[in-house]
Amino acid sequence: MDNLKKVFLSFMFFMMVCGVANAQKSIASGTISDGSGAGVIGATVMEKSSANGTVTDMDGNFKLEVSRGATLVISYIGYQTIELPASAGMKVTLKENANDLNEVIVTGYTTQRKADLTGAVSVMDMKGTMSEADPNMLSSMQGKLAGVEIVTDAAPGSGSSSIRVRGMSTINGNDPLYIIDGVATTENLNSLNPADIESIQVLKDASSASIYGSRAANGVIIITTKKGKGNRLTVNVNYSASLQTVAKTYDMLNAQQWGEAYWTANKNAGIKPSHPFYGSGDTPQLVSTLSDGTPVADTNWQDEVYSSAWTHNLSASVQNSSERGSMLFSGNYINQDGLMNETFFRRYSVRVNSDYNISKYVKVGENLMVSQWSNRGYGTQDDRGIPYTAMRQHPAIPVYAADGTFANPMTLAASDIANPVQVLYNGRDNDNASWRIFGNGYLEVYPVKGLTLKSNLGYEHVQFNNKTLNRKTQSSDVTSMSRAFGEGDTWTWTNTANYILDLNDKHHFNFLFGTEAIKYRYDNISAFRNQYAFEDVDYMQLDAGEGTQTNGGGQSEWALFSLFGKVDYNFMDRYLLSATLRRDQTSRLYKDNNSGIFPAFSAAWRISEEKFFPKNKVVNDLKLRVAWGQNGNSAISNNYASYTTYAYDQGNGAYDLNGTNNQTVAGLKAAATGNKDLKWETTTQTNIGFDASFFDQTLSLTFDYYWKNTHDMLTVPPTLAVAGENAAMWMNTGDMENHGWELNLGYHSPQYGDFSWNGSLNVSQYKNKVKKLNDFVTTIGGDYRLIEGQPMGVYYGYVYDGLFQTEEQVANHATQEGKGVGRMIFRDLDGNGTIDEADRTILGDPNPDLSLGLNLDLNYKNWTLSTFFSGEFGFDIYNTTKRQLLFMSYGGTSTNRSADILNAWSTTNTSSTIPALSVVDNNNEMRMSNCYLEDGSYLKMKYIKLAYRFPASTLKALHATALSIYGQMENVFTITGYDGLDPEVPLSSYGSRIDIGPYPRSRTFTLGVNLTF
Amino acid sequence: MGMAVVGLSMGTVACSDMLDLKPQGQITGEQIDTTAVSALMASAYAGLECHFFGNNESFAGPITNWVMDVRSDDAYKGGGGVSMEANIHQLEVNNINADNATCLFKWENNYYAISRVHKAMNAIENSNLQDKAALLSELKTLRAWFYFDLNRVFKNIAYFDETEDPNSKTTSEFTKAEIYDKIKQDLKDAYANLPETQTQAGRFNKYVAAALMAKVCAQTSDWADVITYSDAVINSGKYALYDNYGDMSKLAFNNKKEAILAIQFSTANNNAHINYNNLLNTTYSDGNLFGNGDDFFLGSQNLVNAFKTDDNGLPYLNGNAPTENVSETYEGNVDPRLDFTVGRIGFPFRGHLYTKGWCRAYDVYGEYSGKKGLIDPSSADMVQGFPWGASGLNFNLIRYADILLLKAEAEVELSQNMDDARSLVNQVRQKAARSVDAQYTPVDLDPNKAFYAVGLFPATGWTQDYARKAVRMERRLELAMEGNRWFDLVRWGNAVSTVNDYMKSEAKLRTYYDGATLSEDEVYLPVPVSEVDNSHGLYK
Repeated sequence: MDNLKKVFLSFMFFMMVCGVANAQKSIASGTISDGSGAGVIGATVMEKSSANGTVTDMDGNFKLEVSRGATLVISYIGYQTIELPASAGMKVTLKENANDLNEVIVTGYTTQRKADLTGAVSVMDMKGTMSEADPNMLSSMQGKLAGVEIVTDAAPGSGSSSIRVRGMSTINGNDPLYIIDGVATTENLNSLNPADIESIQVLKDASSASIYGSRAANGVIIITTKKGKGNRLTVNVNYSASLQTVAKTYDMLNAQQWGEAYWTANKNAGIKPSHPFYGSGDTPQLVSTLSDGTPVADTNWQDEVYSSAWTHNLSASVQNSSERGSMLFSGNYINQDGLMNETFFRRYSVRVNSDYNISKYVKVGENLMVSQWSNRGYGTQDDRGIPYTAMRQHPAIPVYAADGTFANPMTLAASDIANPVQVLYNGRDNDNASWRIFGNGYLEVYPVKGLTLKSNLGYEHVQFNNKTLNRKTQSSDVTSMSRAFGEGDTWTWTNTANYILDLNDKHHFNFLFGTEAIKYRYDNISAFRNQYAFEDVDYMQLDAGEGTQTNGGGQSEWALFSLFGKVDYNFMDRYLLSATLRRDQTSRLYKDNNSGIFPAFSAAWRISEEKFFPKNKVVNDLKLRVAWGQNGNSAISNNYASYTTYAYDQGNGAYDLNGTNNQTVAGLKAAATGNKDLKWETTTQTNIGFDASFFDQTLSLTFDYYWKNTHDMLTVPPTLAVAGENAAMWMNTGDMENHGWELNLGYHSPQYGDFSWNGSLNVSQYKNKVKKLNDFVTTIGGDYRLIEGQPMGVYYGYVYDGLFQTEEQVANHATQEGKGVGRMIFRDLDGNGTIDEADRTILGDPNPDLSLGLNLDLNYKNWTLSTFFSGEFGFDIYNTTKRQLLFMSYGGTSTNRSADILNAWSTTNTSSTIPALSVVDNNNEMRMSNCYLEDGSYLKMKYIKLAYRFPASTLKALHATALSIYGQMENVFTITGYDGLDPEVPLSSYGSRIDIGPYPRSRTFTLGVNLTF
Repeated sequence: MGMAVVGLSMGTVACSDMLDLKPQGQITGEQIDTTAVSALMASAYAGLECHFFGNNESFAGPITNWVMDVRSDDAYKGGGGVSMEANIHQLEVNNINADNATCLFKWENNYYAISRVHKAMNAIENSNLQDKAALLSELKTLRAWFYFDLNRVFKNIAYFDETEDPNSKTTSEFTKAEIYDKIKQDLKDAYANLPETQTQAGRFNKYVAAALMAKVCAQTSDWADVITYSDAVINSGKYALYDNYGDMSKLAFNNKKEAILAIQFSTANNNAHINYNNLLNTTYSDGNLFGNGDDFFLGSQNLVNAFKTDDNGLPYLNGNAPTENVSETYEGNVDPRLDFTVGRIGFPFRGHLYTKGWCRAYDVYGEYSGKKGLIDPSSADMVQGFPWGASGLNFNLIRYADILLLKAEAEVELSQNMDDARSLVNQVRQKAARSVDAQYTPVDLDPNKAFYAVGLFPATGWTQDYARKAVRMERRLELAMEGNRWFDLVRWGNAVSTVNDYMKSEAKLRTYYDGATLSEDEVYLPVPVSEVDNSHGLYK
């Protein structure tokens, strides 16, 4: 939006130049550069106490006719304003501003100066280090914004990254609302080219977000894309190549070690050991060939499944602007191959943003993105997923059999764990192709001074077209192919009137009124057929199959209609007041009950503008803020939650009443239970905070404290089996409470010769509590659950007290079926002498106690070294992989274990914390206990980047205006005590953090070049 | 401002229509009418398939009750090792917690089915159909089965009918005996109102109700009623014993001969309606005849030994059997039904030689893979690939031989018509005798290798005490691995002693039984802990 302002300023300038005719003039000229020496484009140069001014060009040059002896006021967003005597050939270096109060912030349906904000808004620093290898902007946002918690997904495209603003306000959807160029969406950001983004702002508190009403309780993320600027045709090209390497793998048993461990585990269980690979002797004798004649192997399956992979990222843009308008055209190609073989994410996207001033009363514009991407992923976070299988496939099994085909563990080892290399290879032609068209067109009319009327029509189209080939993994399998096609279309029509009124230069009003109508429609079809004569990708089309064919599909819609208004009042830049009201009506609720009203009020006091506030060098600005407001959340998965429905089906509701053996009569069964009383859940939030800057605005500080209470939380209370299937319905039953604080510190050092540095630190904390679930239960869930009075997603189970060391200890312990020396001790919490369900308790909490992000940039001459750290502290991970890694009784008889079990407890190794090996689990050690919980606290160096900007002499030779090259390393190191591969595990239900073999994380090395003409 | 006003007014006009969106692809509760009745009936019957949502729920809480056979002395859990489907292992060694998956799935499957029955009943009662009583009787018979299954599996259950709010019912309102009385009342009504035949083979006639009534009455030792309702079935002339014991595993005999209360499985809808209850119970089969079966549910050595017969072809009823285990090399006589019940190394399995290669975890579970649910693998009716070994083979919850033996048992217990009792048992044995036929395909017997001998009980020595043993043994052999043994032991009152003796002796072969015990308190499964937790104190 700041570029819009520049266009506007330059437009003003041309208007003014026409009126200049006086004598006694001189020409001021020069170059304005930033701390690094690069020219500043679009800086404003004004003659003091006049309307005379200009803006700098692409190279930072300006030329201005001024009165003799004039003073120039030079300003640029993000930099400190300076005043200098006008002269020719000026060399001006601007100093960065740690806290620019004139920065324009995009808020709901309008913009505000940062100085005028009364709510809690975080602004992303778009100049900081970003991921070069990851196509998804969310990865780059991680850790950058106080109170915005992002857990990234390491799979190509990061499609399952999650984002939480100020903790979790509900047990339902906690995803924020995205507003891209004024149009609301909830779609994943992975289709968006990060290079197209001009600014990102997060509206965190209710007062700033309530203008978005029923969808704003989880925060609003406002993304504005770039517009043409610079008064001249500019071409920018950025290319980077990144090598992603496997950061860490599990240390597993080799084939010989496996046999030994298995023998021990059988003997400990009193079972005579026997295994097709190791015979049935007293000691394991690894066979030389397997049952099909294939030589036995010693396979490291993780090495077979993962390898280093490249990302290529090419972005280019062309832009221009003039007093008549602006245009920007950009394109992006990114291809991210995954560490897991055969997986990738590839995206092509183009963008056209333009606007045109038809007259001084009318302006039209549009933003349009078309993006096409495809990706191939595989099951992760699943014990049948590839990472889990790669970890546990048996090492004696080779990847390939003697005849060159894939070895089949199912026949070789009576295993039900497939060969992961084969699974990946069999899926090599699977394709998930998606398109997204996202854009808006608008008309702005300025009929009288201060009044802007705007009509904005937004459109979003998302479609997917998936093809999955099921090739045979063994001869008895049946080949099949399934296709799925779906599309979602959203129309958003927004009309606003915005009137700015200034009275006596003291009272400033900003009125906003508007209406918004949104309609969403989803449509999908799917088809399946089996029995294909050939497994060829070209052959395997639905028409070519010979077997069963099925199809499916459906449609779904919702709509929203809203009225909203906002009034801002500013008295002499000292007292700021704001009031917002929005009324939403939705199709998702019963018609008598479908509206909700969301009010908000906020105020701020800029103490530093008061006359009594001493002008000093230490405290430059001080603003106190207080805000209260309400937001809604309609994140229920059922668009028709008020209806009780029945569905005819040929699935499990049908029956072969006629006894045909191969046909069924369709049945009618309960599909959903409706609730006509359903309404929005409402989150009420109170925010207090202050903004301050110190020491010539080199140091800035923002602090916020908030209380967030969610009432009428939508829950699906559990039903008893006696109520039948699908008896559960959405109800407004729960209460949740969050409170927390956020602190942002920014610093820009002075220039020490050729050196300067800047840094920013954000720290945040939240405390979450489920106050009430519903009238039926005080807890929902199993190993991780919701419990009234506790934070969301706490882990629940038995307390593990180490291992029994002596028979005496065993005898003295409570009744615990299966107990014995070397086995796990579970605590008899209720002291009733028996280990039973009543001994379960809360074991841990997945919510971090503290989150932080730290950015440090060092500038020296043309060099910049940037680092970024992110960390979360004081949270627990439920590491389910430990069952597989440490227990021979888990996961089938022919799967691999961690090399750590060689050190398991035995009578001669009693100091071990790993239970004695056994193939049976009579002690029920797989039950949930704190054996499977680990502290996940970590500090990661996410990025380190070294960039070099070529000096002007080189640029001249290339006819370029800017050229820089850079090297970057991502996921540099992690400091953690967590035993799994990476403590950053995806968020599961209720915000729990469960390690079930997520996609492995890479360490990435990037080289890139950025060139501007 | 004008434009905004236009926008406002347009929006306001549009919104009432725009916001009135109806569910797509479904009908609402208000749209249920008379035409919906037959489809609601179909879904109520589909409750018998026990396949409401996932496959785990089906095989861990199966209507076939194979997991209850695993609790008894008849069967092992099987599979790749003791850790696979650990909850069923816990059932096998009788180490049962209220969070055992079988408790939950057994509970859910039956109550979901009852809920469907009640939805159909209410729709019938609200309809303008003419003959409501007959339709309601079919549903009452269904309901009777589901409550019967719950009542004999769980410590205590909630009972309610179609007019009551199920969410307000406790598990302590009625005793087991009171619930059996309610079940019987449903069945009496059904017997009175159901037709003798149905045009659709899968729907219940009055003899289904009678057969179930006989079974429920046996559970409560109401022997006179057992005889009354068994006679109703027998005298109907609609049922007969199979010519060959192996016929129960052939599609051609679905709904024929012995089939009384049958679940209609089918391969419709891409195999969504095959017997998922027995999904895991397909032999591993060297050579992939049955795909890669999971090889769960194996006969115990104790069961196999029970098929030993003496020189007269009679089972050993006085503990005087030879001590040698039956195996490929056993030289004593055996009842031929052994080789229709389990696979045995060296013997044919549906026409193919069964070898050690068919045994998935020989060292843990031995060799006796269950046979009864598998049809001839060379039959065009068998599904190739997943789900392994599947077909449209029905499962008989009650078959004719069961009714004959229940009547015989009742006569023995009442000590009346003892000769009739002996004749009924002998009818069943005659079927076994005539099944010794090496030409009958698919071949499961090898008379050249085994000494098949099955004889009839003579009149001499047929005292009440001996007859009781004979009938009980006949039930074990005839109905082996069909989900009856555990419940028979429970109703005979000797589950605890029998199973403890069994686990102690079987531990010599199957070491995982070491130290396992069954107490009286563990005979019935506890109400699933999650249901108790969610019940607001209604469930104990």
